[in-house]
Amino acid sequence: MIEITDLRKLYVDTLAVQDVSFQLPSGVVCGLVGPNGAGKTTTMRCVAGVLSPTSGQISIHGMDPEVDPIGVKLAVAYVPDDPPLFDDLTVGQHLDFIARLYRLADHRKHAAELLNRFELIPKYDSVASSLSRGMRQKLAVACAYLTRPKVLLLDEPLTGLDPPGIRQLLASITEYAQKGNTVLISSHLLAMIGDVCDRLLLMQDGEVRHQGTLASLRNTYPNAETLEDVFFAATTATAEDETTDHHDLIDDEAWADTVIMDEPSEVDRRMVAK
Amino acid sequence: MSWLGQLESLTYLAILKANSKWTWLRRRFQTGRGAMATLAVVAFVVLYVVGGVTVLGRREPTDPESLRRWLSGGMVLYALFHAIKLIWSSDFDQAVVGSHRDSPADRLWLGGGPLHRSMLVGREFITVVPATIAKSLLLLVVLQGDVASRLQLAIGVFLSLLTLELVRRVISSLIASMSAIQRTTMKAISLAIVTALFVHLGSVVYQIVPNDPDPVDLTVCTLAGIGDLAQSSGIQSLATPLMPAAHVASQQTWTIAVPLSGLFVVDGWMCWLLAIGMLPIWMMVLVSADSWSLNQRCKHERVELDHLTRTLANNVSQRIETDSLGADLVSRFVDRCHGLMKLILPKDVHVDGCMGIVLRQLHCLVRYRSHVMMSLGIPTLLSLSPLVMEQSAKQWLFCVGGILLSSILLAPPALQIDFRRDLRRMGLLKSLPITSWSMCIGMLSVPVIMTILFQWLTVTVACIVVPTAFSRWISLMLAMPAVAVLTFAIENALFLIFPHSIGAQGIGMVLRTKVMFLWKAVVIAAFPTSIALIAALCSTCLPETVAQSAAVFGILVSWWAIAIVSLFCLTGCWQRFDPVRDIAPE
Repeated sequence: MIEITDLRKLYVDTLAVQDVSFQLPSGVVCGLVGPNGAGKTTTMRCVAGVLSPTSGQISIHGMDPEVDPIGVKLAVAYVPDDPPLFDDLTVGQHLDFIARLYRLADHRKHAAELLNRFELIPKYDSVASSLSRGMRQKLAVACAYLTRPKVLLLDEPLTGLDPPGIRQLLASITEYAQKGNTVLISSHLLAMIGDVCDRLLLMQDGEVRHQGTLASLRNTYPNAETLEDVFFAATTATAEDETTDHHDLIDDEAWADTVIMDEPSEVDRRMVAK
Repeated sequence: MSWLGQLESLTYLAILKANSKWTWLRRRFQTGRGAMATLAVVAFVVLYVVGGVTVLGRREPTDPESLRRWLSGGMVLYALFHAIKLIWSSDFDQAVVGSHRDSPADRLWLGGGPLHRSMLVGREFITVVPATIAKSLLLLVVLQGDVASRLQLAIGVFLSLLTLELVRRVISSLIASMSAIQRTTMKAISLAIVTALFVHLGSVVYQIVPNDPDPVDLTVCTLAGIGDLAQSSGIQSLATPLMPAAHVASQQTWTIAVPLSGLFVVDGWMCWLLAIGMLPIWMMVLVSADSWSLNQRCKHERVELDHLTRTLANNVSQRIETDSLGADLVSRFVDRCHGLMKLILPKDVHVDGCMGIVLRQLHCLVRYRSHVMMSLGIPTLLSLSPLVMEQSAKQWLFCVGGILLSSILLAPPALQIDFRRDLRRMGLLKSLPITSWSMCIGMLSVPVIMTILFQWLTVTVACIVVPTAFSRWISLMLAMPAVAVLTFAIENALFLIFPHSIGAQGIGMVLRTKVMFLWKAVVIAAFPTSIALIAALCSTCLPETVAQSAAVFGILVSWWAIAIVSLFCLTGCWQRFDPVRDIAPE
């Protein structure tokens, strides 16, 4: 369960994330989409506890990263875009190290399953610096799964993966969420993540523009045929349209109690009150 | 999660990394360039030890009290230098504990892992121990003649340096916690402190320097002045945390009574206890300072956010206009230079790709302009300082010597706008469609031009203050740029042979710095030698009427020849550079 309220993050003189609020219950896969520089990665890094938010509240299964950073980090696994690995450690050593770091008992069996699933067995003794981009991605995801986190944050996990790799990863995400875990996945490959996501969070210019189920988003843009069309329609919408879009999405039951709009107008307030 | 468990996982990682680094080093030593780097390090160690034992070992031993004051005071001066450097640095994150040492993988897996922040701070401390041992051994060679017990000296110096590292990190954390206003205030205070220190140093040197001094006298007096400054009561009062370890290093017997800060009298064993006890105390201070610093940064960020929210819209549109104007100016300047170079250079020399690199370097220069101005302004003033002394024949020599020393010693660390800045982008640089020659010229262009501007400005001001012959002025204007080219070419060639990231630390860096210093000492010695040789040759072989002109011409030709050879060396190093094999894994 992730609860974010009024999250803001300032980088020197750039407000990367402003007033972001959302809730994700357990067992849900949520797609985090938006154009480059929308604030997706910053949001994820704040949730992971890698970055301290400038203001706002974050709660992971009731834990505040400021109060219980270790508890949050044990509950969350974050895999960034092009994940940095220890160049001088082998694939096997990475998994062993993560197991020690998270005090995982008898991790070898689980590690072997993950290596097998992500086709990393032949690379077991290879150092990370010799792995391809896709292999590095798979290893980082395997390390994340090894810790059995309650919340899994994947930033552009499909980049660099081959088609079987993408299929395997998406299948693993669905399975993982079905076990009651929360997955937040950011990607530009909308058609790919559209199949696994229960919900969608659309960010632009550091703000949440839309959030809701895929169905509700499609309903908002009935003329859009694909998820990509929906994305373009949503991100290029005029300010006037956006007000309407917010209202359409707030009607969605699953999100009715979670949406907090950026600078809501009087009309917005009245609509929420209804 | 238990502390022991966290410690165990960090130890496991350290062992794996050490094993891997050792394997990488073993493989690299088997290659030609790796062998050269190893040979240079071995040569340095042999020279250093032999020089230390034979030359420094024969000097008059320093009394224990002076040694103690010099050790503790010298370290305070170093800590002050570090603090001032950080205050003036534009990279605010540089001051955060672990910001330089930690790799992106460390930041993700350790920073994002279930580890206490204090554990990461502790890890940062542990990793400086090997480099501190190396530094202690190097210092031991210099100081071994001053004490009866070398073991005690080694341990004392090691404890002093380790305490200094902790103090330095505490200072860094405090500086990282500052707001923009506090930083500006600290800049003003630091300027006042530096001015006071230089006034003190200047007055001491003025008092002890003999009439009509030569460069050796001046260097010896300046070093004596720095020693005096380190032993002054002001600096010594700041050195209290380092005193127990300095006592351990300098005391003659185990039970000698020594005054501590003029307040306490403790015997030798107590000094040992205090020196060792200081480490955990400073460790705890560092953990607290780091935690406080992180909180403060967050608070300042919130204040800045409030301020920014009010002014964001205006600022952004204004900044976009300013930025694009700045970018246009830089681009236009580079276009003009490109056109000029095409006119000057032969048609078969292609500089098209080179100008792209120059443009990028210029943007870097514009970005760090205040740092560069500061870094070159101080050497300019130092080089011109002999001119305010009484008129003498050597006054001009000191000024030129100052320019050369500044060009060789100060300019390379101040102007790291070359290959050294792009270690992690070497693969990208290799993939660019330009020749090795263009790449090297482009990379060196900006730092070399900046150094030449510094040299020309200083020489011209010196000529205005102390009128001199036009021929001397023009000779210097033509000869000095060769030193700039040589300095940066060799600095970069050595970097390509033995690459390292900016701000890297550890045993490798300690040895590398010493090897570089040794090379610079050789160059410093080579320049006057070449002048003397050519002058002697011309005066013996040529008639008196043409000897002087021939000597000047000979010096010019020889210096530029060396500079061009060094450029070819750099180009060769770049051609052979293999990013995959030569860059150490993180």
